[in-house]
Amino acid sequence: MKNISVVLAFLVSLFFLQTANSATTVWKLDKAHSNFFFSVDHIYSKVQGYFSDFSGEVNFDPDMLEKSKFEFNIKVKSINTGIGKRDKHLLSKDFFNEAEYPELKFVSKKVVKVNDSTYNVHGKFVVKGKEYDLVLPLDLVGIKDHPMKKGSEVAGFSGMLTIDRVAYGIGTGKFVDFGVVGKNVDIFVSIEVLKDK
Amino acid sequence: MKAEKKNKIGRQGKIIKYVVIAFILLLFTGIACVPFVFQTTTLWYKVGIDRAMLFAGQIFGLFAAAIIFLQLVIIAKLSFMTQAFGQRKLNKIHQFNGKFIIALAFLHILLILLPEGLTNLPIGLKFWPEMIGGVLFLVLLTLYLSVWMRTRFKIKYAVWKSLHRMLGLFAFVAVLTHVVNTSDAFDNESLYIAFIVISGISFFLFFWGKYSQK
Repeated sequence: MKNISVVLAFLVSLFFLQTANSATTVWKLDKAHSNFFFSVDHIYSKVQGYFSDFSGEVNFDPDMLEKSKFEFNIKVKSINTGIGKRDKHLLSKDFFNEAEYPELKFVSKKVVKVNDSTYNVHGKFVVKGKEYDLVLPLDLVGIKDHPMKKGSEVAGFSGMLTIDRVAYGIGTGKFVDFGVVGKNVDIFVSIEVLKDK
Repeated sequence: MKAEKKNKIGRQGKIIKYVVIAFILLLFTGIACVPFVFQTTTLWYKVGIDRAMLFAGQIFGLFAAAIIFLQLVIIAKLSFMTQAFGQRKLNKIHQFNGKFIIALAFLHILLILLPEGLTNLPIGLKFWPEMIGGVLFLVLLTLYLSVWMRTRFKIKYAVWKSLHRMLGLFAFVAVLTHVVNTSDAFDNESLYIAFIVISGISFFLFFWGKYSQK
């Protein structure tokens, strides 16, 4: 009987040890201090905008990259370029077709360390119902105690990439042919994530 | 002598009538040209059928706005208008215009919304001028239905009239606000001033007509 208890205790401790090892650090997205900006050429100038409504999950531990995961869901309707009519046009079938495809989604598959602070986040980018492979390069800006929120840690990530919007089905390319709206879109991701210490 | 005077007034009335009709035709021809001469940026990005629909939608909308202004003049009981058309006919034109405005407003909404999808509606704070347009359409429908409601619910004429007038004047203010704030064509100063002057004249004639009756 004593032996059985010892074996059980050992198995239970193994289970908890395993659980502790497999758990990465779960961070909560600080939406008020996170942004998904974009910039696209318009003839000679650049039009900039952002998405104001999004959600996400970040599991990140620099020492456990194999368990780290980034997931972002962006509500297309929240697009804002500062001009309502332009936003409405961007939501139409000419671009996002928001009525049919209300979300953009990015789910990472693996996180690869590039250098001391840069990580390539490989994942699937779902645009208008289709999946595309995408590598999102993210710089870990830092991890520290939150200066304003006791007992909490904050981590910052930022990243830039350029995508060909026509390749992702955001527009047919007619405005590219007209020489009006560029096909390359610069995306700037800047996020802060929080967790309890 | 009396018959001679009557004929003279009749001739004068006819001349006024033709002048008024010519002015209205000229006004509507001018309005029809507005979307082509002062193109909105929304039109820049539309091609083919979408562009045609947007052009038509803008023209119908401007026609509806002009007829709303015209309604004030028609119902003002201005002596020169009564002399030219007769009050009974003016009342009939006012009633017909009520239906015509709703038809034009409906087509305007449909043709403006269709090119960017009926599910992609301009709702929200940033679309407040468009939303005023939506409210205006409901007010126009209420104005039209109020005629039927008056007989159906036996509303006193005086009560109905003051309600109808109040809603009518609201429609006037709403259409003015909607047009100049929705269409960036009105960023053009000349067009903006012309629109304000036309609406101002109709508003002045309405009050002048009503005041001169008292």
